[in-house]
Amino acid sequence: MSVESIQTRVERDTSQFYSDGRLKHFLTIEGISGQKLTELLDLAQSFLVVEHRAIKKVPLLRGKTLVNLFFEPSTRTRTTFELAAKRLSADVLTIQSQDSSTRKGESLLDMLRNLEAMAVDLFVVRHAQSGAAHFIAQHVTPNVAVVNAGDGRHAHPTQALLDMFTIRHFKGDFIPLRVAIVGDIMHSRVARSQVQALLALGVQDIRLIAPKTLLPRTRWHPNVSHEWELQHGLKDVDVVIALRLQNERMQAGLLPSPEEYRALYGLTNDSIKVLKKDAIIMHPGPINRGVEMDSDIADGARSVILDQVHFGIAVRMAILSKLMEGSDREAAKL
Amino acid sequence: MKIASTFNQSDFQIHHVQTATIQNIVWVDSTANTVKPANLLIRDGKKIEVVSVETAPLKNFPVIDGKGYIACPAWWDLASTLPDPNNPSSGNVEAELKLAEEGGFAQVTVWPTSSYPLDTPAEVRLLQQTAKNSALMVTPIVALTRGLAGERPSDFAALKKEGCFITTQSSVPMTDLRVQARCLEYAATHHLKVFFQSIESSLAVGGYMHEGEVSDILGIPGIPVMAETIAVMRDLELAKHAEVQPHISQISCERTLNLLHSYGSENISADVSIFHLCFTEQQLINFDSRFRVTPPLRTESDRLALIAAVRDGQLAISSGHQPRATTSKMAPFANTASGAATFDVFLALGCELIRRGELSWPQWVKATSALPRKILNNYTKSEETTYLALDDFCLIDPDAQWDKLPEFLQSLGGDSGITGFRGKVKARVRLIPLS
Amino acid sequence: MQDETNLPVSPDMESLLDLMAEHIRRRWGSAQENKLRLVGILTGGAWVAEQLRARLKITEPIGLLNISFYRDDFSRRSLHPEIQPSSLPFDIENQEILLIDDVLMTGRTIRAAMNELFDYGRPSAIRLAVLADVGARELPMRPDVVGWTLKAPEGYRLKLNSKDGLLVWRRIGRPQM
Repeated sequence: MSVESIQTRVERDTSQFYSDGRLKHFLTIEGISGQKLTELLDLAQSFLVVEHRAIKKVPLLRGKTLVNLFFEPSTRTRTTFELAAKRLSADVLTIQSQDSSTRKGESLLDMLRNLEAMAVDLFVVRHAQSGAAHFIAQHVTPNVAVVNAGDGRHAHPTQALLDMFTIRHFKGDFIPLRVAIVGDIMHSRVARSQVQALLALGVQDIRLIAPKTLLPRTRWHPNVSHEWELQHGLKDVDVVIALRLQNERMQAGLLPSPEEYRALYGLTNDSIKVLKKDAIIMHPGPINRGVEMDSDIADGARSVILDQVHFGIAVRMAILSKLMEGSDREAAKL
Repeated sequence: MKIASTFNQSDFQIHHVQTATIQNIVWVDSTANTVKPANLLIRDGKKIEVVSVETAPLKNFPVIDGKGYIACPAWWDLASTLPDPNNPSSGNVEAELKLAEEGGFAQVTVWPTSSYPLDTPAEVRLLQQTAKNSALMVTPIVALTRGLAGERPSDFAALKKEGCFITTQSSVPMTDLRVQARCLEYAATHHLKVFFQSIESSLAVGGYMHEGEVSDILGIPGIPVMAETIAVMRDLELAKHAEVQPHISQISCERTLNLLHSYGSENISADVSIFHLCFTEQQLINFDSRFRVTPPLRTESDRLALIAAVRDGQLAISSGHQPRATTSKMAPFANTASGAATFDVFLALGCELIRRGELSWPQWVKATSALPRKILNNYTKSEETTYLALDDFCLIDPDAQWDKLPEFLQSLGGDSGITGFRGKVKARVRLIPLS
Repeated sequence: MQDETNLPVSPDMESLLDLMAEHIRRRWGSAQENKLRLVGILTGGAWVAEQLRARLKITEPIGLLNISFYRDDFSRRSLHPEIQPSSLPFDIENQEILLIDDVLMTGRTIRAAMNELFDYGRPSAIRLAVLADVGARELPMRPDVVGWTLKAPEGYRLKLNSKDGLLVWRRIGRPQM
């Protein structure tokens, strides 16, 4: 960056791509074209068959080492990454650290250096701070790939991709869809990545439904609207994604009570009547039953929540193998 | 006394001058609002006569060739932080002052920090002792409250004996408004002037950047504009109540300017840091922690409003210099330290604003030299040091391209996040009055 | 450099396929007699397998193998964006498999295919049928049924264009279409 570039718009970081456009890291959906996302979804589709075989494994990442680096607790994301890596025959190591010393930058870098010294090929990173995966990607040696498994409120691109896979599986074409995301969008990395993916895949009508306290401050895109009123927002929608409501939101004074939230924004048999007949209902999990969604809905006919989990493995296999394709060729260039 | 008669094009030089001629410079006159070629005739280290380039140099005295250089008064800073002299690991005060000198500063105003609050005569003396070898004037700003803890006032009478005449609570919160009012009343008792860095901490805490478009995209908790505006209103009301003369330092947004305007600007001065004049929240779009500063960089319309206020001569430009160890910037964004070292890049950033036509040279000189001097002079009683007009100035090559400074010259903040600088102070000229 | 006009000319495709079908019938008997399961390697081998199935009057569908996930050069090449997945519409446990590919060269594709087959189960035997065997083997692999045996000129490889059923020569190292 130079003084000459003092300007109102700074170029977005494109360090997750190689110069030829292939993925080097998977940090954010932002900047990935709809075509590239579709390729990833196609690849994931071809991995789906693997789990129906006697041996649910392919030797694609044999000899590669993946480290799950989780600075924030997560069961589902961690285990699906672990399973995805194992089905690709990679060696997997999981490090879970809630240790405050690793939150300091210096020790985080030290930790990276130590792991790199063990010839790791892939880091899957979950961290409570927005930008942590970018930071790690900036500081790893060039032949190591980084996958963002959720950073603060910023991005959760693998979750968004598996959600897109689920939507495509049930709905086919993205372009005519109306998609509503209900809940704590402001604090949600999932919602940020979902909206970016939906936009990249051509969805024209994305509705973010929440009280003002949980909505973003600015409108992200002309095709993204803000709604305060659930019934209005859900009308004729094809896909509804409910987000988890954290208890901290009540403590921070953003909402009065879970009960009032359910009454106004909860997906219940009543509130979903305005949806399209064949609408699907999604949730990134884990669900607060009786808050953002009633059990009837979560386990109901329109719910595809378990399909999301199921597809998550194939989608993560696609991402991991995409990052490792041609990896020796890149290493040879160094 | 050694006086150089030739000018080395590449190295930074300091000229101590009694009687000499500086030829072929471009003279910036902020009072007359002109920029014109001139020779400077300096006599007895006191008088400077600006004459046409045809005028012959003073006979039998040194001649300095200033061809291609812009000459203007050195900068008077209103807001900088230095390392804690008690704690060498936080940096080296002398190295920072050397950077300031080479960056074109005549004077730096040192703010208190929680680790070095400048709340006792001993701390003030240690700073002055450390700064003794520097040619810079170092103005300590003492802590409004002991240890900046926000509970009770510092020993102002003792501090005044050390020559201190400004106090501030910096951006550290007070226990409550009643205590703040009392501390300000006590400062008024001692005729201290008060610098405010107005930030309402309950609105800023947990925020790491401007609350707006970029924080929304990055999912980084934001600091709303009202964290500043509410605090400015609070501080101005308190200052009025306590009858202290306020200076609002390092403002960041247009709405603050509107507030200052509505309060009437006669007795209220304000400054903006060079970073806030040059950069916006967009700088952070890639989580670039080198641009994490306090207050946060705001929007382009805020930046343009601040530029306009500088152009109108209402707003001084401060360095906002706050050196940070490189390691403290090496972490995920929210875990990094806020602050940027700017002594070394101050002029180059100013030159960029001038090249783009956002500021003129006279406006730059007014905002970095004339206005700060007026602000500081306003604050001194007649028996105290009066800051002289033009005894220290810079010869500038506005197009000199440079990258990083050599290691030993680098501020602790090291990389300010910008390379490819254009504009450098090539020499300092100081007048040594004939005694 | 090879004179392109002197490259070996492929025999008529119909007669090659007839010849292979005849070999298979002679060795394993008619479709009613044998228990062979046909598995074609995508994409060229699948086309050949489909042709043989028609000639052998086998009623059940053929299996398809996509060996992309089993390649030994994955980390040096790219994954093809649209991978048609493998599909084996029958259980291969204890079955005799006839693995079919278009061109046999180094043998690495066949190795990858066999690795993949074993992830579906344990066949009683795997046989190999190829349309053309151009030599240049890098692994100890011998086909059971061959349509056309020849030696590939240096710098060229043979490729089946399954759209129009033609064997064509490609220069090695030429960018893929």
